[in-house]
Amino acid sequence: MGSTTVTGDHAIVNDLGLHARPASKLVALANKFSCEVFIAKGETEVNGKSILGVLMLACPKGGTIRLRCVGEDAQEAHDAIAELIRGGFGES
Amino acid sequence: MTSKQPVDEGEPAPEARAGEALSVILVGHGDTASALLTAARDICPHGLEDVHAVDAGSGDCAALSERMGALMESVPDHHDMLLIVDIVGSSPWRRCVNSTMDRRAAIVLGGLSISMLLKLAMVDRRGMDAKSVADACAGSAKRAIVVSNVSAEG
Repeated sequence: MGSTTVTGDHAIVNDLGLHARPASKLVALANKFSCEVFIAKGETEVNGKSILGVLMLACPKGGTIRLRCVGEDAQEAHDAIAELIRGGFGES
Repeated sequence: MTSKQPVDEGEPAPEARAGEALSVILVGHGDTASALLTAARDICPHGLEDVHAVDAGSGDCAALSERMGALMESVPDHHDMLLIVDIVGSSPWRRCVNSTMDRRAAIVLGGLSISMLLKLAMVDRRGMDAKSVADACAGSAKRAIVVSNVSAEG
């Protein structure tokens, strides 16, 4: 039985980009799911369950990240994280 | 062709952390220990509740020894202990090393930074000994050091 992979591109909409607090929220959310979560910006892909990895992307407002979830609950993880990103991580 | 590799192993869910037998104490010159802990808690609201900070202040060694002694006494003997100090070889570092000499399992880690504290907040410390946690924090801090030539990169 193969594992599910869900991929999507998402724009960062909050003013300060993917800075520390949003990264913390993203990683905390990603860790609630059993699937693997990867975030890519350009050619660099990092573990979406690592706050340092996510911060290393240094993604500004207007930048696009590719979210890739692999595993049993990949769809749920992708949708939840995409919603968090779309909502600007609760920031303006 | 570009190969994509995760740069970190990630952290298990912080909310899964409970009942760990590891005490973590931060020690820094001036008020760096408490300031870094406050900043890290601002970024990661959960996961650092059980971490203590000891500010060395402006060099009063007797006062620092007293504060360290009181804190060490409050840590049960069966707990592993991880002390993270800002500068290796400094007097706070020496105090930490001396204070932990008679403890069963204690690790002193130098180079206290906010990257270490974010790792500490996110890692599931259950079942990890002080050395493993220290290694995870040290690895995270090393990876966080990046020299970026912004003007050249455009």
